[in-house]
Amino acid sequence: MRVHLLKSEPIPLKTLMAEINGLAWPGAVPPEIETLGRLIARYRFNEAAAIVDTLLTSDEGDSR
Amino acid sequence: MKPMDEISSCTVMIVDDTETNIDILVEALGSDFNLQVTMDGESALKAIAYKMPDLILLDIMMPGMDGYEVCRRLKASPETRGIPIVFLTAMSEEQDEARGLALGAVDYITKPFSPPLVKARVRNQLELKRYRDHLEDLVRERTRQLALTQEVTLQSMGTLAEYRDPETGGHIRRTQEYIRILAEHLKDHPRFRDRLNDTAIELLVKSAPLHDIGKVGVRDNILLKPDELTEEEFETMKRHTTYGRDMLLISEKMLGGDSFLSMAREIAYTHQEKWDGTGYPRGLKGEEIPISGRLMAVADVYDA
Repeated sequence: MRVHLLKSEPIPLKTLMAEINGLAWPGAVPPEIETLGRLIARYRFNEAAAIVDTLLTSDEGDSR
Repeated sequence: MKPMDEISSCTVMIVDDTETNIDILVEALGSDFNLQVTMDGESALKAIAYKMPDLILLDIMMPGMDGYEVCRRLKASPETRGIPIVFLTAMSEEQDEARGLALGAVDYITKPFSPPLVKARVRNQLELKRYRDHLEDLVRERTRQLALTQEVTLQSMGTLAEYRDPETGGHIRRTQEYIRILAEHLKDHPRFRDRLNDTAIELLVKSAPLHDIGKVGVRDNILLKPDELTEEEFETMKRHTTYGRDMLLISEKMLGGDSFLSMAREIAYTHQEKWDGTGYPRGLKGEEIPISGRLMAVADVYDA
């Protein structure tokens, strides 16, 4: 996803977002994912990239 | 015309700060092209650094850097100046359009726009870009082919003269090399600098093998005579310079204009002239003899 955000490519991003939204989550869909979807739909890729970076950082932290 | 699939693999960047405009353009272009979308100038420049689009649809009035400035920056950079920019704007005054085109934009579309029309114009511009991109390669390849054809033509004609007079074995190749050495040495001299640039030297060297091409017109009993020539025979032999000039002139006329054979003709006609005026066919003196003929004469006599 990050590479498409850097290149500002809306169509692959919308496809990826649809895939993410199609996943079954253990609880409610995390608010960051909802925000990410909203930002991508509105072409706000810089802000979306910041959220992806945050998610990736927290993911790395969890796996330690 | 380029095949459609090549055009469809192109990437179009949309730069507009209004979401609904982007939605319309994504809807109109998304099934035909790869798209990049940014909502301001700075983000557009950043995205271009990651992926170079084939065409940019650029709004003018945006927060921060406006479309004119984005265009100016892209045209100032050698890497991005070839990307066609189409302004897509609500600014409909003639001077706005003139400014955009002066900055290097290829087209100017005013809002409200018709999506099918934008799509058609995008496609036209992408086809033009493909032509431009390929034209340079095409010219380079054609130039290479032309140079090769010239070289082969000159070489084969020179070989013809050598076959006719086998006594000369290796003479053509050696004199060609002597000419190159002499010309390279003289090219920085103030007297010759304007006449002996790299292109002229290359043509001179390629043309040198034709200096005795006129010998194909001299009868065998004179050309191949082992003994000393009589005065009359020598007069006939001397005609090889004019024969050479005439046969090359015929080819030159067929080629028309400024032919690569003109240097060869000059050499064939003047390489037997002498600085003191005792040469032939015209008895030219000193600087009257063209530099090509002088160099050939030196190389020819040195190798004799």
